[in-house]
Amino acid sequence: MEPLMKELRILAINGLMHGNGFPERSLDLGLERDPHVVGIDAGSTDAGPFFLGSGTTMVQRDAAKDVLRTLLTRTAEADVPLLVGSAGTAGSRIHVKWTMDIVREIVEEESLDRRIATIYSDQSSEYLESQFEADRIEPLGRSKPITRSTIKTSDRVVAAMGPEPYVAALERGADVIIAGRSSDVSIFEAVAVRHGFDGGLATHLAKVIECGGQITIPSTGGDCVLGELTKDYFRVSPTNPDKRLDPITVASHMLYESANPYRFVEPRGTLDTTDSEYRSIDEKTVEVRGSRFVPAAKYTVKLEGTRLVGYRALSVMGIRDPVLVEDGATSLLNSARESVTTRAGELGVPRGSFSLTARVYGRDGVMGHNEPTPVTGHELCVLLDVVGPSPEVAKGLVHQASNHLLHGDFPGRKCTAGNVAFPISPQDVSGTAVYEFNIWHRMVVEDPLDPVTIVFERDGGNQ
Amino acid sequence: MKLGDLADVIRSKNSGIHYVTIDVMFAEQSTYEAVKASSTLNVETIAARYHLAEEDVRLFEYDSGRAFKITIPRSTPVGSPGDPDLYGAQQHAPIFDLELSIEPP
Repeated sequence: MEPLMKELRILAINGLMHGNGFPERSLDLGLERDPHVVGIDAGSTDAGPFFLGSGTTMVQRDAAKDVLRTLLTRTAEADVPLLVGSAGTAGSRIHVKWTMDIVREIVEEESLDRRIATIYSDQSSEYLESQFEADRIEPLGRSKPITRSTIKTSDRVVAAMGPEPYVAALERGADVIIAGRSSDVSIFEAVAVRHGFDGGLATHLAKVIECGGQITIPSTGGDCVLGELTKDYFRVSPTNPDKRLDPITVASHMLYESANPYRFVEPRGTLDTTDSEYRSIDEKTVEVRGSRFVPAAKYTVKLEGTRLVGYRALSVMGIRDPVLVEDGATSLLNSARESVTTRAGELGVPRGSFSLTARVYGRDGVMGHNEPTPVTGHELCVLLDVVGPSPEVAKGLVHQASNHLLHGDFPGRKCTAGNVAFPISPQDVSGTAVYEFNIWHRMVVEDPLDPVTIVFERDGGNQ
Repeated sequence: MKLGDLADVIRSKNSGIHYVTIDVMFAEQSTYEAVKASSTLNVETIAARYHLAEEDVRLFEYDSGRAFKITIPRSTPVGSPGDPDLYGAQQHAPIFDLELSIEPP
């Protein structure tokens, strides 16, 4: 369909994940350009499964409140819709509610009059099981095919929504949307989709601006960028007068975190940038043409689910003894592993219910078996990481290992009073609960709104 | 010349939970073209550096960004027990000292 308006403007803020702010002047200058929407991505799976699994956020509450206060008050003054996607790091119900709690405080404190919608994208195990039975869930990347037990053992599962739920909430009059897990692109594409803009350019623009000022030069510090979309091209520019943009930087954003720089898969289809052309309009503005969109045969949403694996305990130590260093501590670590297995047996801890990872920094700690040069220098650092079925078991087993490393025997040993240097007392520390992504799949849905629930704040809906 | 001396940026980052992606970017078009023409940065070399099978290595030439992209599987999904690099941010180093038969620019 032909877009109804000639030009659509989208103001994108840098992600809220780490709680980084941005220059308020950049936001004000962006709002002066009369954007149709302001968007911010508040989450990612980048920091691992912990936040979805534990229901906690990476961003600190005060930092999130500062950013949200600025955005809520400024967009209210300018009467521009504000879209917050993947709320609270992982975007599950608990994360959306955490964010809404802050939003309500700000609305109260600042006496704001905004129509606020929340969009939840949590997936119940009953719904997932019915989708599984209908053969509508397939693995992504190297994930294993899903089973009923995968669904049962997941603590929390979210679907990364496309732009349609945002469009639906906007159609119903939302001024502010606090949404659960979303594809990063959908947050910034929603208003374009609503106004009938071409999929290729709209998707590409949304992908370019998803991280806000990260594409600008210099890229340091959070900041805002403005996207201008027409049916023939899009333009993007930083709103900060001290920052620039060039075609290489814009093109390079297709490299960032994506496996393939030419193809980018979204719920509605695939962005194809093979024929995209990038050119400078001025030192702040880049224009892009030629991006294509290949619609998918079926609408799919990405599913992310986590499972509790156990509880962590750690020990960290240095090794300077030349005999141990030359061996990369290999034989001592092997006997430590044996002693842990023995101890676990004595404690009645079943095999397979715990793991011991020993990272040897100075040998291959960072890259493991991918390391092309596992050559030791004059000292090593060893990190022992035990994940067990309870915090107590993990602590007991990591102590077994760290104490073995301190006092255990090894071939050619001369340092008979102690093998390792612990930099902290006590030598072992308890960590957190440990999760893993056990669902990383794609789910076919009939209607893009099927996997979400939209609730308006004033409808009395407070699920 | 070593790739690490020729490139402007050599970086790695997670791409989803199963892959790490490495970007090699050049400041000058001529350097990028020279590296491309040398064909030293190839799937076979990269697979050998990372002890991976060749079919596990994806290599892209990305002219619009004067860059090469390499995508390889992670040893462990992001953040699972045993994952050595949560953000995949330090998996780029093995290609730094790739020797390319190119004259300094």
